[in-house]
Amino acid sequence: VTLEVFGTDEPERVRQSIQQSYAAYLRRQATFGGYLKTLRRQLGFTVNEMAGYAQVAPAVWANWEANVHLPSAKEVLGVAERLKYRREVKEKLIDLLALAPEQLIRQLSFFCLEKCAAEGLQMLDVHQMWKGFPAKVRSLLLAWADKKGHRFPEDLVYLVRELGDEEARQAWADEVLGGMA
Amino acid sequence: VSEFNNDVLSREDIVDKAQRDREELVEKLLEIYPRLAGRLPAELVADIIFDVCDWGIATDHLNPRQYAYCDFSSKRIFLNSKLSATARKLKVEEMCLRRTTLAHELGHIRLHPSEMENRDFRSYLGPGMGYDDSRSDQRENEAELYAAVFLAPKAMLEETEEVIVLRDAIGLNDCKEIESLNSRLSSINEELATRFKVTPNLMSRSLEAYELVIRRQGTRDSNAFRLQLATRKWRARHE
Repeated sequence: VTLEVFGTDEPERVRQSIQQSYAAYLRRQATFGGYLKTLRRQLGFTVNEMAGYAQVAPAVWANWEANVHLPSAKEVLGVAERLKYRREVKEKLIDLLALAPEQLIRQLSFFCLEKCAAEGLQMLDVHQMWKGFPAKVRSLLLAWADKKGHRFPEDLVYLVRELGDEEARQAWADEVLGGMA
Repeated sequence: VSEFNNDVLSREDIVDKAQRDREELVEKLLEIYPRLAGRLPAELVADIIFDVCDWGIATDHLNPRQYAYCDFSSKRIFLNSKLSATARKLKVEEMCLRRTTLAHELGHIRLHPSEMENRDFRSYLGPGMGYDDSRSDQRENEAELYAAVFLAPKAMLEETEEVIVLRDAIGLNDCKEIESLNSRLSSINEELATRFKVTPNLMSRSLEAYELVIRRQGTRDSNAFRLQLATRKWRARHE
């Protein structure tokens, strides 16, 4: 059984595999979309089926699970009502929704470079990308850019490109999020 | 789920890996949702990405030529939010284009994980700030071949009447008969594409991967192609 599940029967590697899976589970639970996905998987539904019960389009549900184009608190409560979620679940969803801007800023330097790499900067519509960010994210970024003398959104991609490794990106996100205090 | 290593792969390697990968991923998906048994790979590809690979699928505003991209840092595929307009322009079903695009991105996820994860963007993004590495075109071709094999299983294709006719015709020496079949290849390809719920472009790549046809790419339009039967005579001349 161990070999079949973990691909190894070495106790140390099995332990590592369990730890990694658990860490991934906790990371997922800490985001709105990740928690939504866990709830769906617990019920044993596919995205299409779940979207049907929630009365939203499958692409909308998929965006929510991916933490992209998130719903308003009112929409979350409406969906939670239709899916008959308990009060604790509704509260957790609302709490996680409030954390979404912070999480988005932490990921922003990565995905906007991926997008740029895929499209090429000449083809990338930075203003369109900017419009896609939630208002809270835009205002935090603008506040940081003002302080540092940058022009956003025009300079955003060039700036994050120069950030370097993951540690530097997280440090930049911390600075931007400093404006949340 | 095991990942392929990302050494440069031969064409045969990719065909073989896409076949084995499809079996493994579909089996894992059916363990979760046994009720999906009997569906075509194209109908399962999104759920495989969601619930076997544990990636997300989101939409994003992209330029019309860019159907999708993968963000390895957050394990998300971003699909062009205007894919329906592209589908109309290409005169293909939107769902077919969506599934075909997802299978292509699955190819990147399964074939190129370490290559894509370990890029240093400062050197990776070239002067035009697009992909600037020698492997980028090669990676796209690899993902396309992976999608072609993943979505059209050889065994299922070989059971179709159309492919039985093609297989028989490959050994023919009668030029007229071959020419007549060549003139019908485009519609045969479209029929098979409809049956497998993929785009005709992708289906032509599947037939090419299984050495049934020779595919000539259009020079200006990446979606334009011409098909020709891969006859023994042709093969002998080109091998």
